[in-house]
Amino acid sequence: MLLASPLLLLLTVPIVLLIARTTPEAFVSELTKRETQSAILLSLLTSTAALGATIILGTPLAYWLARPSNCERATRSRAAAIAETLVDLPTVLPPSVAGVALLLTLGRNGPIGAWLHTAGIEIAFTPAAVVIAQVFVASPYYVRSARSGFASVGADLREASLIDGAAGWSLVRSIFVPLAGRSLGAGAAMCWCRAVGEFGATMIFAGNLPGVTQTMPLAVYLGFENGLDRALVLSSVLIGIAVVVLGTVRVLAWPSAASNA
Amino acid sequence: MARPRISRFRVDRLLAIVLACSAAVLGCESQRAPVGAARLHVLAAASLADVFREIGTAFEASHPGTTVDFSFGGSNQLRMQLEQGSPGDVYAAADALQMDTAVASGVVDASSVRVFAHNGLALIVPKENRAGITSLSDLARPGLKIVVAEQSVPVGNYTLKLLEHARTDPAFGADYANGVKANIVSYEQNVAAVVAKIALNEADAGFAYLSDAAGSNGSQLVVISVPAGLQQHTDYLAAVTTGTPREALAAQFVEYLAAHEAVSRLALRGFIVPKAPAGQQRRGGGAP
Repeated sequence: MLLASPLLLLLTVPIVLLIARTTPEAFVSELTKRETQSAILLSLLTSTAALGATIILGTPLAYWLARPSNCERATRSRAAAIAETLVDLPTVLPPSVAGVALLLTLGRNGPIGAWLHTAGIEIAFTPAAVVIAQVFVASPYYVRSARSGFASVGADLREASLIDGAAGWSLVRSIFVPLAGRSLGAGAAMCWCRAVGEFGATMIFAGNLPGVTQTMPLAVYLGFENGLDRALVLSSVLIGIAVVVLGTVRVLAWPSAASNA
Repeated sequence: MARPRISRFRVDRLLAIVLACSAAVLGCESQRAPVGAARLHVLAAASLADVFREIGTAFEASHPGTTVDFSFGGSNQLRMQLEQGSPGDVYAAADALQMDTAVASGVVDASSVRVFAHNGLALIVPKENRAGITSLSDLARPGLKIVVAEQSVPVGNYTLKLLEHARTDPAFGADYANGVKANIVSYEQNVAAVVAKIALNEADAGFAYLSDAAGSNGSQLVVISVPAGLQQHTDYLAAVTTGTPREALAAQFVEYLAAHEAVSRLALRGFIVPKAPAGQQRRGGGAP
């Protein structure tokens, strides 16, 4: 307990003090301001869109990574090993690196961005850029969790369902999604939460315009300089979201962890 | 009930030991740095980055054993860091407002404040200039992407003033400022971020400083001058922070900004240097 407390204190005291400094009056007055509301709304919309895109694009990837042949070290393809490292990469990169990389790729001078630009599609400085930045930094959390969920379903069950005639999408829908549901849900919650908290990549790639690209973390950063109240109120909102999501993940993960043990 | 009390007591003791150790380490740090072998920490506005690095090297050469470290950022951001207790020996701001606020909050020594350079706003466009912008009046054209600095940053504040002045200027008209604002796609956190996005050709135009044309990104930019009637004359002010253990050296650095070596570098980098010796100059200039 003695050795465990310093870090625990470091992790909790600043957050408690931050919430303690937020007065109810500040809460009411800030939450009625249009700029604060639009930051909250924008954050919720973009991170939900980012989660949607991650589920659509990340589920097939997680499923492929979880194929029995890719889970056994002996039979694992080199492609799967590389893909797994690539999926982990954004979680260890500083988000500012992600921002610069995205700007150089999807900005109007980047190889893909230039092509989109001639087609009349602009990404940088739009809410789409916010969503892409969020997918970049947050999707690995979903893919990793979904992959381990799919992998835990087991080869025998797959074979059994194949014999029963289930194949392709119906196999995924009727066997994998229900059985890996907890992992998918926990991964989705973590992904969404990380997307809500995205800051560095958004600032560089999407810029900062209230109502368009200024998400809650950006408003906290700028509010910190312009007047502490907005920063404090939005920080408390972000902490509230994080606590609810982490609590949900706990509830989702606990029984399955017990049954796996 | 006894157990928690004991463990709380031990936590207190552990914290006390940790604090005592860090105090001892910090104490050693300041004792270890005799005069002439000091590290000077300068917090300076982002627009000063290129020229201050050069001035810092020259200062080190003329003060053997001294190392100058810099933190560059928005003047407002640096001021807030000082107010929150961040270490720093010299503060150099890009406008009087930030310096006045720093004086008012007691983080810099009021008697040490010096104006050491001036600057002006410049419209910058990427070298390619695909939008074909040739003057300020083009900026209200719909569909452009304009980046400016956030209002709390000095350059962003100057930009806003320029647009407000344009409202009463018959050459631009009352709707001009609204048209320009509708084209703004991002409010950046400092002038360096504005310059970077223009240099990368990710936006069509932005407002930065005259000195940015002579900065490290200058070759990627085309600078379009601002009409004299709208130009904002900007001041750079430097001051010694209060409570710095290197007060004498910090004061020397502030004085050095008026020395020939520093002034010539400021002029080369496109800053406007004071005509009167800056050492005597207190406040002046300001927006017209």
